[in-house]
Amino acid sequence: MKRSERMMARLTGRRGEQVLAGAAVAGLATSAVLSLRVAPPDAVQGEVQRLMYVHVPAAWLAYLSFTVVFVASAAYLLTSRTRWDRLGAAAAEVGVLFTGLTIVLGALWGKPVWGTWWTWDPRLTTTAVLLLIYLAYLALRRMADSPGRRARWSAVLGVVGFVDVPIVHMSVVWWRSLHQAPTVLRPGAPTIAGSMLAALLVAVAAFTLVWAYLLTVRLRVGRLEERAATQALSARTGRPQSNGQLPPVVDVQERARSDA
Amino acid sequence: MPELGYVAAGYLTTAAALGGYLLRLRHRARRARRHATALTGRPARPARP
Repeated sequence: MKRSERMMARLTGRRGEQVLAGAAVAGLATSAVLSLRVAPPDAVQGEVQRLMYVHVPAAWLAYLSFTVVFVASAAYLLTSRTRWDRLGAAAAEVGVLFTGLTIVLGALWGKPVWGTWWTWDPRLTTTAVLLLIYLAYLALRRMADSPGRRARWSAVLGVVGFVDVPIVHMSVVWWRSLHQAPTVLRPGAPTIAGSMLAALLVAVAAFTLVWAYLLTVRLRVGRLEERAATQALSARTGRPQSNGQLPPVVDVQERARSDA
Repeated sequence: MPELGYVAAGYLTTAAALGGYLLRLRHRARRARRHATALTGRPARPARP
């Protein structure tokens, strides 16, 4: 086992999971105190601006998840190694969760500030498209009839679908938008008060720990489900699959014909 | 809804979404282990890291 693989195994092992869970809970508690008690209310929006400390981290983690899907998908297409497919699937699922959360939190923030839950603004529309792309990715994974085909098809969508991520981020710059322009990830210094920026960065760090924890748990669940599927196939065909690995890619109908 | 109501709804939605997803993952892990045990007749080993 290579050194990088050993490190990854340690991080995603049960011990690593427990450490990540503890760090995530501590981070969330710190972030809650900073964002709800320490950071001042906004001069214009008042208390409702505190939604920024959950909305922005959720959006950042949606971007991060889909970047992981993109890298894992490209790596799968280059190497055909199952672990990349598994990572892409896990990151897509977690990314869909955070994208959905971003949209709901944005609606809760938009109602008191803009006077509406939803509007067909470029940022909101491109984010909705992003959600649909990765829901399609997850649906595609359920449709394919062999593990190899499922991995290949979803890897192609994982690479192509990523195009929408920079479009979402730049939408407020490229088009006239109701949504505010970037305040932190922008050319030049952040346009936000220091105490608010500190609370925001702590919130982003805490939610990133939660994201890492959810991703490691999701990866473990993915391995368990694959093993159960492999054993089900072995039981059905009477052919043992070696080392709990995925069976070789065989068309299901072709296999049924050969078994007959 | 007063301003704080929106903030409370946002934080509660976040907690519910993350907690709910974690519970769902735990349920899926238990189901996969049960399925593997039913097929092989022996308890499933924890997944390899």
